[in-house]
Amino acid sequence: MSVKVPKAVYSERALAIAARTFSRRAEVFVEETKTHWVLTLEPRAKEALAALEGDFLNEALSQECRFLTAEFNETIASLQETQALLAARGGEAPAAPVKPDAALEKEAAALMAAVRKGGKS
Amino acid sequence: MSRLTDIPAGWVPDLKRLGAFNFRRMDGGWWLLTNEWGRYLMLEEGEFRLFVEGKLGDGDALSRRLGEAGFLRDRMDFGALAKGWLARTDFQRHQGPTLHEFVTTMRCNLACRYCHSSVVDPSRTDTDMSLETAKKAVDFAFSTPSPNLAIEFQGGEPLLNWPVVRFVTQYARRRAEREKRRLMVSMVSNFVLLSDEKLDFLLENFVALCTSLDGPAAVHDRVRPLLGGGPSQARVLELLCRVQKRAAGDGTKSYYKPGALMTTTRHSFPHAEAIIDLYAELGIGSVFVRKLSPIGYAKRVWGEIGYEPAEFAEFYERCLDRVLEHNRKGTLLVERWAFTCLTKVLRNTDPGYMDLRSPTGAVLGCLAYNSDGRIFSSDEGRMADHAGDPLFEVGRVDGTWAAVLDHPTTGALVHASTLDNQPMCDHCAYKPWCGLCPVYNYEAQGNIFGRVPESGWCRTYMGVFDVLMRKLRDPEARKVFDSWLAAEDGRVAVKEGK
Repeated sequence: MSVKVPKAVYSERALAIAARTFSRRAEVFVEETKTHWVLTLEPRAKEALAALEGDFLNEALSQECRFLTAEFNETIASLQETQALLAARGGEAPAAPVKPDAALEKEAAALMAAVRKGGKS
Repeated sequence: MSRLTDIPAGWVPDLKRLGAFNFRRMDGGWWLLTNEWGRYLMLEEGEFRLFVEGKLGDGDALSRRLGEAGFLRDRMDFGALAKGWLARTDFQRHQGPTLHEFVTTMRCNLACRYCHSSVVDPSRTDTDMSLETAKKAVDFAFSTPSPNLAIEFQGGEPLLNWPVVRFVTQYARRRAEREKRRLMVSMVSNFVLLSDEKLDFLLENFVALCTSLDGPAAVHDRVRPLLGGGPSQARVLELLCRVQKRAAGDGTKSYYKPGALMTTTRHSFPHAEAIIDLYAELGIGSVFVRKLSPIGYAKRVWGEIGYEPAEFAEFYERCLDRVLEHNRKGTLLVERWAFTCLTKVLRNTDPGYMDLRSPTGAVLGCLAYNSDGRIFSSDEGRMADHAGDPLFEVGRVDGTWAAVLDHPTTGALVHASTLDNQPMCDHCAYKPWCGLCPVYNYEAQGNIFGRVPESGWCRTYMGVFDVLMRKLRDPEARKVFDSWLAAEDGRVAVKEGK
């Protein structure tokens, strides 16, 4: 089944992500003219082709819409993402993680031995 | 959604005066307004029109309310509003995950129809976490920078790998004491194997206990039978009461009184009131009316036990109505989902619920340690692995926290769950309080970004928020909600010795 969609609406990137998302459901082949993408969808199992086409184009459109939103909000979104990742690291100069010292290792070994002695119950 | 095209025809917005805000027309003809500061207002249609068209007088009461809440561009009190924004997004500045979920074994002695954890037969001891891996997992958790850590035993059934539960509890307590870090340990168990000896150990070591109780036997036993068949509800109730009695009998342990969670299946629908009545009767103090997600075994049996988001919202409202009824009669019974959302709405603070964060709590707020030493972004990510897809693995217990943060999956999850990157969420009135789960999106719709307009996740949360907003307009319900938040304030004050 083939469908022609305008390049002005669907980017190659959105179609690629949609094809990957649909990879369990269908194989997607892409050809192009100057103004359109020509998509061929081959379902992996028997299903209604019209529904498959509709779902696939919804997915591509959703990706396209996401690009626009992410581009529009890039500054605030990047700020939040970076802030969250940086804070999770422990700030700009995170302290070195504390490693158990010899005394704690000894204690851990003793706890482990005691637990082993107690058996599974 | 908050697009100018959603404003009724004929209205002429005064764009120069309007601050940035999202809105939603609610059933009954009133409008909900929210903004990034975390403030909200409920306006009648006439009020909303006056606001949108900039026809409010400077001195009138509504104008003052809108100005104070940051909805009018020329009346922003940035100091106060920024304070609110910082409180609402506090989790974005947390130093690493606080919740560390330990999967001590994949084995389980129940055969729950919906088991999210996709567990295995009790004979499969090869799925147990070893003591060596457990030690490395504790060391990894303590290598993350948060001053507050919570270790939660999950499964499978954690009691089937008791040595690891004992060791992790004791070793983690020793480490926390030496490093002066606050540690909370908890266990989610079906209680069936809980002996007096084990209970003694757990209470002595301040391990908070939580079990699953789906309601009366007719509901619970239908979806949570013992492995090999047979009812489990009576045994769970007996043990729950025993644990309650023990915890209540000792003042030092009363904070650790057991909790219970219910999971909603299609079979729960006819029993909403009976489920809530059981929780009230048991004196547990709270009930969490949880939705089912199409993850793990639930995905395979979704046709039998799953449901549409609208069906869940209807069930949820019936449950909440019954909860409110019990409260009005003098029984303090908190519905946890409402409590979580209302903490955000009414207090503008983060209650620590990982699902309702932007970016999501996966990796940044929680990690799941599989029994084989692999680390996953969350428990849901681990379940996807159990179903054969290791996409959400972000490290190993012998690796480093920095490597987990630098893992490409971590970056992708953070990006995919930041609501400002999501088309519909960006315009949603519930955005200040909501969150997305990339694992859910992946499982339900094939990629971590999902398609929000069709997402069951989104429709479920929208449904719950709609119910809560309606209830907030009812003065009697509002009184009950305020009492829950006040009780929590008191509990926190006692815990912190204030």
